[in-house]
Amino acid sequence: MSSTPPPPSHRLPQGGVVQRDSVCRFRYDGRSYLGLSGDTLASALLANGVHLVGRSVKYHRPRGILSAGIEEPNALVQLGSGARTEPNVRATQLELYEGLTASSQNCWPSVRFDLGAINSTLLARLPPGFYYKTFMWPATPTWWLRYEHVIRKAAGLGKAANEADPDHYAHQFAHCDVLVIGAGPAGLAAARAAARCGARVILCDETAAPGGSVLGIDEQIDHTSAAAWLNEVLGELAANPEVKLLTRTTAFGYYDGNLVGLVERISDHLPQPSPHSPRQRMWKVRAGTVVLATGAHERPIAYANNDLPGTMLADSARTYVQRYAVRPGSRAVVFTNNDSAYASALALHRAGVSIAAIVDARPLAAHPGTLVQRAREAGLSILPASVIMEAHGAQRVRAVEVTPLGAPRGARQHIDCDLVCVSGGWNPAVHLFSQAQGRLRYDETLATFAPLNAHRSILATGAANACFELSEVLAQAHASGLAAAARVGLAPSGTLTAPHATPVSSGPPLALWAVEAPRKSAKRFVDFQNDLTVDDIALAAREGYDSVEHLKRYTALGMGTDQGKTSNVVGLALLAEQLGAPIPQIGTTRFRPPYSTVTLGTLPGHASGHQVEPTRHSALHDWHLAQGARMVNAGLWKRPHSYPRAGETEDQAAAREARNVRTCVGVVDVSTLGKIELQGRDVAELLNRLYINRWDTLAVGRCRYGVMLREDGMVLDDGTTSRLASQHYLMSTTTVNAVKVMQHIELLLQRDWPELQVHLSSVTEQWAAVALAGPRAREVLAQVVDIDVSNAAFPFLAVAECQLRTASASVPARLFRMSYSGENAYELHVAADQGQALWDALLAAGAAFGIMPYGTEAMGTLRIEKGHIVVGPEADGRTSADDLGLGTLVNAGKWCIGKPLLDRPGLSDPERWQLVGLTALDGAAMPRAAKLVADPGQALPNPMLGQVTSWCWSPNLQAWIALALLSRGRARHGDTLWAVSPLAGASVRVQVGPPCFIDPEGSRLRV
Amino acid sequence: MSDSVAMTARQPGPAGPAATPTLSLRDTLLGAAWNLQGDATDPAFAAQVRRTFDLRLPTTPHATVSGDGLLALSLGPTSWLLLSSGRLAAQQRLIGWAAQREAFNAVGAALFDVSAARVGWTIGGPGAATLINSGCPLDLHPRAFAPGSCAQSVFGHVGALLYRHANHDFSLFVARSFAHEVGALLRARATALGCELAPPAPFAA
Repeated sequence: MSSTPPPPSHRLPQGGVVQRDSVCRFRYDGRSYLGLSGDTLASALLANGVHLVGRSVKYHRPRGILSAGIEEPNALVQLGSGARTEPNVRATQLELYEGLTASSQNCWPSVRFDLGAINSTLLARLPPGFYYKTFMWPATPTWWLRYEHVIRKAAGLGKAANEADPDHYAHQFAHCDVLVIGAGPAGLAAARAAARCGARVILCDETAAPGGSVLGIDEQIDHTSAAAWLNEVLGELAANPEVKLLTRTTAFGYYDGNLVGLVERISDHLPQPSPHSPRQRMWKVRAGTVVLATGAHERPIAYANNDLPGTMLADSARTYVQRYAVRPGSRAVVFTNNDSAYASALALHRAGVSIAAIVDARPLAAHPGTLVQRAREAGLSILPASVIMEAHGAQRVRAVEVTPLGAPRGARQHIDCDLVCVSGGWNPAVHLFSQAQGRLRYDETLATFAPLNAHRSILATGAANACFELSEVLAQAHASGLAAAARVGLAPSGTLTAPHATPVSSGPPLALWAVEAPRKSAKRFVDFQNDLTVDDIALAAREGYDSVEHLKRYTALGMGTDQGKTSNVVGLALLAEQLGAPIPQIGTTRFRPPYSTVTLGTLPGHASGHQVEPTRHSALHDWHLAQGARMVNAGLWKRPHSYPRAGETEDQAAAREARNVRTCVGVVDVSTLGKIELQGRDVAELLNRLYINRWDTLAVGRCRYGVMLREDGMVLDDGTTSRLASQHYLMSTTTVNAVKVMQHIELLLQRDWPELQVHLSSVTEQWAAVALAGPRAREVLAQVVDIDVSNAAFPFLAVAECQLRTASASVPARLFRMSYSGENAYELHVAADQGQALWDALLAAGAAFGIMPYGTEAMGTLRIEKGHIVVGPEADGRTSADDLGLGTLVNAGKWCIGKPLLDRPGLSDPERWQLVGLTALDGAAMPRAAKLVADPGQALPNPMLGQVTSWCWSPNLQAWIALALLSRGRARHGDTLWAVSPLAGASVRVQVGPPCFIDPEGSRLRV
Repeated sequence: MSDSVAMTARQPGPAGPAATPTLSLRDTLLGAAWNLQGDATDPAFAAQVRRTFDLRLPTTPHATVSGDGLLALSLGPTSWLLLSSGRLAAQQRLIGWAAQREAFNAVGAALFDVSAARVGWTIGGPGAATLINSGCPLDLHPRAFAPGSCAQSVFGHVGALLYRHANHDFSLFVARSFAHEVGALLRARATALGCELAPPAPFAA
């Protein structure tokens, strides 16, 4: 670690856009190397002469760096260690930084000597469907269990981190007139044209440095160097406040309404990321028009051993030379079916790489393109109408065998080399266009799928539109930028001219997907990541997988982390050959998001951990916390479970609190209950239609309990509604159903009963609410309100508006006499910002009477003792009012929602489950969520008579009690049954009785 | 990546001392707020609105009308939110609010007191839209959301009401029970963007 690594052996002395004054030391597979800022891990490894970076997934064959970008199938590395380790990172995109540590994947003990390579020797072939075909027998699953751990170990690529993700992620919405995806020459020309029209432009590029294919090239644009042109355009865009340039940002998905998902890598490239900056940010961009300047991916040609390290896509080799100043080999053979590879040959030649031969599958005489001409002038050896049939080498290519095209038994030429640059033509990156439902056409001349630019809101331009020549690209992209601006009604103020480049002529490519195999055992790879060969595709076709979608699923073609960017089109073309069908008839597989891998943490953004959903706090939340209460969820609300004192368990605290309400007085925060205010002439009529009971008889200053049904007659919600004034009502709902009930009523008013003059507004957030309950509640209340609260003046179910005396002021309050606990009880509502003052006033006034706050657990105990239902446990969506013992509330003289269906035969079935109370016998605790059976010893499935819905230890009865739904429950009062919980191993004898355990006459309420 | 970084969980927080303020964030104190509902085309309702509030309600979506210390925001075709800056002034104006409510009820309309139902923040500066767009999907470019506009949307998972002041500042309101959640998010993100946290101030239309 202490010794300085040797200087990179393959770095060119000049050129490239790397920062030579910024040296980065990095470790790969345990060895230290030197690279430069601006390098990718791949370019830095190549600069150090390292080609071998991994082993293939099935055969464990040595694999090298194939490309220089997102299409890379081979050079996947495991980055970092610990909680931040990341598998399957493309070395071709991983920006180098000081201290970077990475290792190769899928090999053991090392990438150079990998025991898994025995697969390649022992198993001549792992054909498609290998697992289905091999592991079908024997039929008993125990055998699969024996294979499974071996297969699981062998499967997959890198290893995910075992620890929690220590990073955080952000989301950002953005809008623009024109979103330009890709900041190569096309994207820059389009963005500048649109921006000059006054459009709001977002331009994104997946790399750190905009420029794309013109980075580091020698050509001129607008009569200046490409580098100077880049600087000028970027300067102009940066100075325009309506333009946003996002680098390190990949557009990964196109969604309806021109919504495009981008992922911006904010700190992945930093050796010491800011402790507070997000790791990645997902942008959700709504664009008027999307200009797709995503370029094209070069594809390889399949020939025997075309996967040997040292084999590289031709344009990627050029990129390594011109962008990164790296010499990827010493002696190269260029194998091509088109003109673009000649640019690579020339660049390599100028960088001092010896060009052993340019093997061109085409007879060249007919089409002498500019680049071919330049190669001839440079004295490069061109072998026309020839192909590479086979490569030789072990861990690096060392020679190729060249034969005439179509004459595999013809004269073989053996050429020594350490680098093979392959170009099988270009695939426009149409992924997003296709995701946007844009249609593709097959271009026979270019042998490629290209966009049919008929989609109204997404325009492909430049290489993404199968336009590959720089001067044409610039002109087309400029026009696309203007067209995109015109779609939102913007035009340039004067005449704008497109950027100029010298035209370069080229001859047409020859469609060539695979070269004939020299022998049967030779492997010609199509999909490097899935180890899929030409013969595998042929076999799949023979086995009947003749649709490209079936081929994909059967062989896994294009299903790796590279999503088949180098293999899909080759694979489908080979399938077409096998079937003797034209390529357009085969078509492509469906393109789906994401375009490339997206880190899972980016998708939820900040909405993970405790922020996975928002929480709601009542005005008293901080007070509850200060008392040490554990908060429990009630919908999105947080409510205090209990207030344990020193030395108390939560259960002991809840029992104390519940006992205190029965013997003395308690206060509970009920702010979370839903509150809906209703005003208007027809509120009573609305309530009559909503609730099973009658409301037109409710007087001003009174409240009433009501039950609402769904249209199918099942209980929807319950609560009280108060009449505050002639046309002014307040409805309370359960905490979790507040929104549902509001929507229910709004829908009915708008859709079914527009004639009713009713206005409603949710006021849950407006009011803090506190219930005061217990035999001494009235005495406490009398201290704080300005009205007479005697039983005569303010009887059970009375409602009044009053003034509440707090420590500092007198505030308006609403007072209700209603009870959930079964004791004499009141509810007080004040404006939410006065909630704490109300609570403090009650605690102060109640101190002399032994007041205690109580939490949801004590509240639950009190209501179980009283047999009050809760929507959820008892009213679980399958229970009618009658099942719950509330059938007598149904008013016979009026209609309401759900009433017609109460006459269904099923609802009068004598076997229906009805609400009962249970008392545990023999001193046993009531098991949780138990089922009720007649005989616990009966063989499974033991017939279920019902279930326990709510249970508690009753401190007031000194017994375990429960509410339950029980078949023929009301007829079984006095029976003894068993509550069993097979999961908990509990079986308890219980006595059935009425659901109300305390004060069934309700006398305590009315004192 | 060194071990010290690898061990430290990164959380939203200040970007560092070098960040220059691009926005300001302050708690906004609401005086009083009412939800007014009625038929805007009904002359009796319009007259009652004029008598009580001395203003004419906005009738186009996203529109607002400001009056004497009051701002009326269109929430829907038949629903408005009236915001008042000074609590005392507002209470005096509706000193007999039951009577005012009954006056609206008498013309088939409704008046709900929602003064404590919302909390708000006012966000200004060039980074204001960026901060709001970290959780709100609306287009906040002045061309799309001009001063004087209002809209009901979301911030993160929480329903939010947004208003743009004449000086291009934004006010963002959410239900009171979400104040802690949205406030913490806004402060963390604002600080990361280089923000001045300003003292609370009353809402001013």
